[in-house]
Amino acid sequence: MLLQIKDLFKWVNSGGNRIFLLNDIELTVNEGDFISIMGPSGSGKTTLLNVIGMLDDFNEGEYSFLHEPVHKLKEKHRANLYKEYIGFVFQSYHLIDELTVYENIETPLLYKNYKSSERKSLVADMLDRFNIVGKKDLFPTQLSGGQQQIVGIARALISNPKLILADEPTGNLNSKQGEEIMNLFKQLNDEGVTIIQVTHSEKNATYGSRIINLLDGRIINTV
Amino acid sequence: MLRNYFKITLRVFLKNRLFTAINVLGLAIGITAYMLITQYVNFESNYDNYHPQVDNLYRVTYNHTYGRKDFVGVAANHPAVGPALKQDFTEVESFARLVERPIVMRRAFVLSYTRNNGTRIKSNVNDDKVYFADNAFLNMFRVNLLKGDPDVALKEPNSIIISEEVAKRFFGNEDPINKNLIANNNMPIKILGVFEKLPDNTHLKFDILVSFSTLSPNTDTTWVWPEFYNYVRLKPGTDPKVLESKFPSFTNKYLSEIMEEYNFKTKFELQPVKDIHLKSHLRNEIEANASEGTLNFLRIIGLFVILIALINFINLSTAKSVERAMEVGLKKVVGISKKALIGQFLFESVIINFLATLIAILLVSLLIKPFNQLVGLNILSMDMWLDYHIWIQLIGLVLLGGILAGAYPAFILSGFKPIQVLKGKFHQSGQGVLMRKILVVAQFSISIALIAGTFIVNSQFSFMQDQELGYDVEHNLIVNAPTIIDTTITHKMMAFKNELLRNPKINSIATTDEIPGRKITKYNTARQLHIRKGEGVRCSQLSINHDFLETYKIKLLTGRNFRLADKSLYDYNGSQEKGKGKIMINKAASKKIGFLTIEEALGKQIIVDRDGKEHRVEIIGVMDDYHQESLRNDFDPIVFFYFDFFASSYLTINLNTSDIQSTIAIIENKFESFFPLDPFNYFFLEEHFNKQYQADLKFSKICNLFAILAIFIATLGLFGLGSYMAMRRTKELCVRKVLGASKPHVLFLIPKSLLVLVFVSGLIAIPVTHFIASEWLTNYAFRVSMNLWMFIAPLLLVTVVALISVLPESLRVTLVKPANYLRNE
Ligand SMILES: Nc1ncnc2c1ncn2[C@@H]1O[C@H](COP(=O)(O)OP(=O)(O)O)[C@@H](O)[C@H]1O
Ligand SMILES: [Mg+2]
Repeated sequence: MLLQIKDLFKWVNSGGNRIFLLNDIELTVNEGDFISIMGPSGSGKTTLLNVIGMLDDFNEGEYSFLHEPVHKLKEKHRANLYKEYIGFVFQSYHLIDELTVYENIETPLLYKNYKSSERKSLVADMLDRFNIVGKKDLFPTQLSGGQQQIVGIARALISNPKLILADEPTGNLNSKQGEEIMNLFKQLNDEGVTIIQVTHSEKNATYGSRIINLLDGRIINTV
Repeated sequence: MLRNYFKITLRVFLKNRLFTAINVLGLAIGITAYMLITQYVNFESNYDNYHPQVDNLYRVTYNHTYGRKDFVGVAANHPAVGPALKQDFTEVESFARLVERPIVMRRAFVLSYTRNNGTRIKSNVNDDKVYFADNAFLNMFRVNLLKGDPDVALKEPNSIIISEEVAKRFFGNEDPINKNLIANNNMPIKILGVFEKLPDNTHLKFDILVSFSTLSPNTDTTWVWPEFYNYVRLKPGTDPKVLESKFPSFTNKYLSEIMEEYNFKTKFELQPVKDIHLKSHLRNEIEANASEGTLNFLRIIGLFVILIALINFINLSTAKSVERAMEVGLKKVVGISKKALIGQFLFESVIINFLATLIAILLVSLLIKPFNQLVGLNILSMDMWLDYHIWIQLIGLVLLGGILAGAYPAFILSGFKPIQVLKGKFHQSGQGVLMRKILVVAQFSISIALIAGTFIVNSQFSFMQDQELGYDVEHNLIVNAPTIIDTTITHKMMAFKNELLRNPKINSIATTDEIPGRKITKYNTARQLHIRKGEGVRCSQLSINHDFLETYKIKLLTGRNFRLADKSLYDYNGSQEKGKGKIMINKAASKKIGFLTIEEALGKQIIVDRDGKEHRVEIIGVMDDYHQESLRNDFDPIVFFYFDFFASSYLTINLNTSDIQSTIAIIENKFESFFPLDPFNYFFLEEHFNKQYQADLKFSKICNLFAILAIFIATLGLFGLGSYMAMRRTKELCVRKVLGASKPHVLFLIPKSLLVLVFVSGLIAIPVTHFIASEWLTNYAFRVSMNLWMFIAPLLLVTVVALISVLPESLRVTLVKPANYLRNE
């Protein structure tokens, strides 16, 4: 078991009313799962993903990650946890415009105190693996959307995470590019990486092993 | 359209209160500083501009090679020059000569008046600036006579005109006209005019003018006394160059004999009166003139300050453009033309500049008094708003500043692609980023240069004040020597001194004809016996008595001090054989006269010119150099004479007490009982000496003021810019956090990139400042050595200010939850 969420609530107060963003979430994710979260816009998919990724907190409930009680951890400890085990992929890639492809991929390693030689070989492996060696000195704005997302995935994978969280990774891509990314995820999943993705596309959801449907912050069924 | 612009502008301002306030305040302070500097610069460059027909007014300067190889320019000239010019050249409409009282009357004297009620008012002329002047002076220069007739006021011998202030001192409410002041208790001098206080910006400052005809009639034909300022007014339309070209034959006509005898050349030149204050740096200037370089320096500071403010404005507005991108995107989608958009932004920019200018006008008006006090001059007054030039400048500033500074953000903003902007995906072009970096570097560079420059100016200034002067400046009290005296003075003086010296609080009393604190007016050539006439070197001449060394605590390096018997051994007839006169010299004079060591000088006979005669005298002692003048100037070579008491103007009293006031009271008491007809007036040597630093002090104060203003404005800008940088990089920082960056790392990312800019600025500013400062320091004979700290400290200061100003925003970004910023739209 990779992570487990029990009776989780997240709300905001607006004009005296309590608005639930996440409502009574129960979720268990095992290592090697490939989960797709679906649901209409505003249903809380991103919020859920951020909570899982520990980028956002919640108001009530329990969340344990690799048997660590996330809700009880100090922020620093929590940061170390996601730094170590989680890679993020975003719909709008969120690459750093001022850095080259190479540097973008390298960045997470900088924050984990890898030696320079180690960094070099890890980034080189990653560039090789995704076939983007020739683009390593380009800046993100010089790449197509699909290529940018590949760099984004490479960056997420560089520190060898157990879990990849992808929020609409193909949202800004055309169908061919999207397919490419999905195949990539499938391949990664086969290699043992756990993946949770948010998607609007039924087709993309079929790549996964499980679908979670969200509506108004509630999980309505689990297939 | 305009109404619409206005409406939107108002809304934008209200919505962005802090931003608008920073912008307006920064600009307002910049404009204020610029106006203050402009007013100051105008004041300095308009010196003597107010005289009638000032364009035809010239000073005839004297260039000669007497006692040297190349020409040296002297501001003063012979008294015969004026009359001869008028006689020989029809182009010369009129002339006026001016000479300082101590030149023509070595000994000071007392002026007194007994009022109707019986009180006797007396005052020593040492305490006033007294000149002898031709009557034409009143016609050629603007001296407003409140009372009296300018056509005749200075015609007759022994007539004078006095300032309002002097009139008040002597006469109170009585009418001074045609009344007599009594000079030295026996000679009546008639007052024929009272003049209005002179403006501050004239090189001619005086309290009393005495008619030139008071001097001996021989003066008019004297060609060997270059101590008189000769002014001429040329007929309108005269080309001064043409007249100057006739001067060689003119000088030949009158001076060839003496030039041959002493083997030197002369050259007369015409110097426009209105250029004197800034451009003339001759010997014997009537007052220390300002330097054009200093003024240009201030002009540059003024431009810099306004530049910093405008850069702020550009940076802040462009920064704000990110936030306003949304608005722009919407407007464009709705179909507002690019032109209208640019119009709106320019309009806002002009309005901000306009508001800033209004505040600046208010600030300047409020600063009139403090600023005048700071610089010690009446530079600002409400009258300046009556001058239309200032309004043209201000309107120009509003429009130009508004449009120039508004154009960049306006074009950046209106160029945004609406779709991108609406998607919240706003990329800054690389060029835009570079442009802003350049602007910031320019700002930092200017700030660093200003601080470093100010730092150096201040160091030089305190260096001069802290330097040992070579004599006791702290414990010396100066009293005007009695002037109403007779043949019994020597004994009387002796008795007076003995009585005072009985008081243990008084160490010693010296009599001299000058005191440290200004140039010694008496100078002439001195030479060794084997040197030809005309090849002597210029040395100042000071009359002292045997108490001088002890009173001033000046070291005797070799030989002996004067003693009473040395007095009056001079050969007043100038016969060269006698050589019985004894003199002392200082180290600088020993060197200048050509002795290799002071020991070599000791016991040597030399020939000294004095009062138009040659004296062969023996050097009995050499004393250490001391600073006769401010440290701007090198050590003065001085020949010391021991004349009779008649040659002295000042008593220097060395005190060894902290109980100054009661000691002064004792001295005053004694002085009044010994010399009842002389006024008792005293001052402290230190104070007197430090007056020389007034100009430096003023300059350093102005530099300080504007450096502080500049830094303040730059800080305001940095604060805004810091927010902008943080805002622009929020997304990036959040991404980095998600990728595992620690909080301290995120916190210092923005300050770090700012540091790079600061160091680039340092690289630009430091060499430039070093160069300019070295140039400036060459004005001083004694100067601080520049050290690394003078540059590192400003760099550090700017760094700290920069860091502090971006830290709050950086902190905010560090603490935001990345989740809030990384949502997909
Ligand atoms: N911090 C917040 N404060 C208030 N409302 C929020 C906050 N975060 C998200 N929401 C709201 O919660 C709902 C769910 O958002 P989100 O998780 O982004 O939905 P999805 O990704 O499914 O489109 C939305 O209506 C959004 O406006
Ligand atoms: Mg979402």
